[in-house]
Order: sequence, then structure tokens, then C-alpha cells
Amino acid sequence: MYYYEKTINANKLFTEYQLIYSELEKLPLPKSFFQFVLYCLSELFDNVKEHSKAERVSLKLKITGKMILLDILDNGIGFRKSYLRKGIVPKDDKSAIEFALSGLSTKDTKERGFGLYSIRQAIESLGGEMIIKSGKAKTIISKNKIEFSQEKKILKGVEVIIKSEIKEIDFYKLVR
Amino acid sequence: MEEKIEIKEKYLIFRTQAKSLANLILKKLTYSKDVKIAFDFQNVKFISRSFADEFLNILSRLSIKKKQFSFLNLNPAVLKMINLVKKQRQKIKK
Repeated sequence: MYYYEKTINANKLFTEYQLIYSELEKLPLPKSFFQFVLYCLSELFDNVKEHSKAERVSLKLKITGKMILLDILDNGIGFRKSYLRKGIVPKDDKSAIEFALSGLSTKDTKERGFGLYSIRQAIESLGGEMIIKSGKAKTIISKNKIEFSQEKKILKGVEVIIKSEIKEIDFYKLVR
Repeated sequence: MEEKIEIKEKYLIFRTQAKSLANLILKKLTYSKDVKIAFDFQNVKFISRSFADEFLNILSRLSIKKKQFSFLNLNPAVLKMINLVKKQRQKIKK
């Protein structure tokens, strides 16, 4: 059992990553799943740093028995504003999430934008669930299924929640 | 002769870390005429996809200036990530 919950200054992400890594290393997680969690943390942290303009990040990581829950919430500008700043115009928050999931990067290169896309692939393969919220939009992804809904409350930044059973995963085959 | 650069960080997760490493490489190149540079990953436990991509971007820009790069002491996870990103970059180029 591992439980971590903290709200941190966005420029302390690296320190927290080191801390979480050293804690996770002690747990009896399957090696490939451990790599998958590190991948999620590193890509989501890098997204916050590169695109969000967030000042604070709330992190929750819960590992109980055979389940994992990872929740990363930032108070940044959100997906849509991040695209708009680069001249890409998603018509609404839902489209902005779709852009991010499809691998469309706000940076001018085809070699970027694989972070969320690859996490989605892995979560679908694990039979887990991924929830993304930004602005008014909420997206729930599970195996062969994607649901969009509209939230009443506007979320300023981005929240990514990952829930899955802990098991072996051929993770490097899924990452694009 | 080969110039060796030891990477001291254990975790390479941010693109900004690759950019800092680029500054170190450029500094080394100012004082060395060697065309071969080996990066020693002995201390590195994990690299993210983002770091690997940014690092390879930097190296490919420097390769234009006729420098050759090699990687030493990669753990299996680091090796897998670098190969994966290299493969993806080649696919995109095609």
C-alpha cells in the first residue's frame, strides 16, 4: 500500500519525481508496470512544465493491492488556451482534449505530442480508465470506448486521472 | 580521440534537462576538437520520452557539424526508450 497526496509549487516537480521514484522502487510492482508509471509521471510532469503555465500542481498517487490511481491536477491555462497561444484553434474544450489525445502538439514539429497518446494506448491495453478534464470538458477513456461530457464547473487547468489494475504490460511496444 | 561526457543526473525527465545538457556539450566542443563524443549514462536510472526526443534533436543538429556520438552504459529501460524514439523519428522522416 502506498499513498501520496500533495499540492506543490510547479517548479518543484523534479524534486517530487525523485521522491516518488525512490518510494515506488521499494514496492513489489511488476517491472514493466513500474516503467509505465514512471512514463506517465514523466510525460504528465513535462506537459505541465512545457505547456501549462501552472503555478501549482496537486498530485495524488494511490496504490492498494492490485489497483493504482494517479491524479495530476494543475492550475494552468488548460488545453484550449495552450493551443490558441500557438495559433491552433480548437472550437471548444472538448476539441482541445481531442487534439491532445490525437497527438497534436502545440510545438511546431511532428515528433512531439506522443505523451497522452501513448498513455491512452497503455491504459486501453491494461483495461483501465483515463479521465481528462480541462475547461468545461470531461473525457473518459476505457477499452474501445471514449465518452465526452460537459461539466458545470470550469476547470482552469488540466486534470488527468489514471485508474488501472496493476499487471504486466508490454509497455514499450505501445509507446509511439 | 574520443571526448567522454558523464551524465550526472539519475532521472532525465524534462526537455529542459536536455537543453541544459546541450549547453554542456557546446562548452566541451569549444575546448575540444574531437569529432567523437561518448555519453556515459552510468548514473542514469530513467529517461522520459520527452527527454529522449529533445536529446536526439540536439544531437542531430550537432551531427550536421560532423560530430559523432555514442552512448555508453545504458540500462535496459534507457536503451529501450532511446531506440523507440529513434525508430519513431525515422518513421516520421520517411
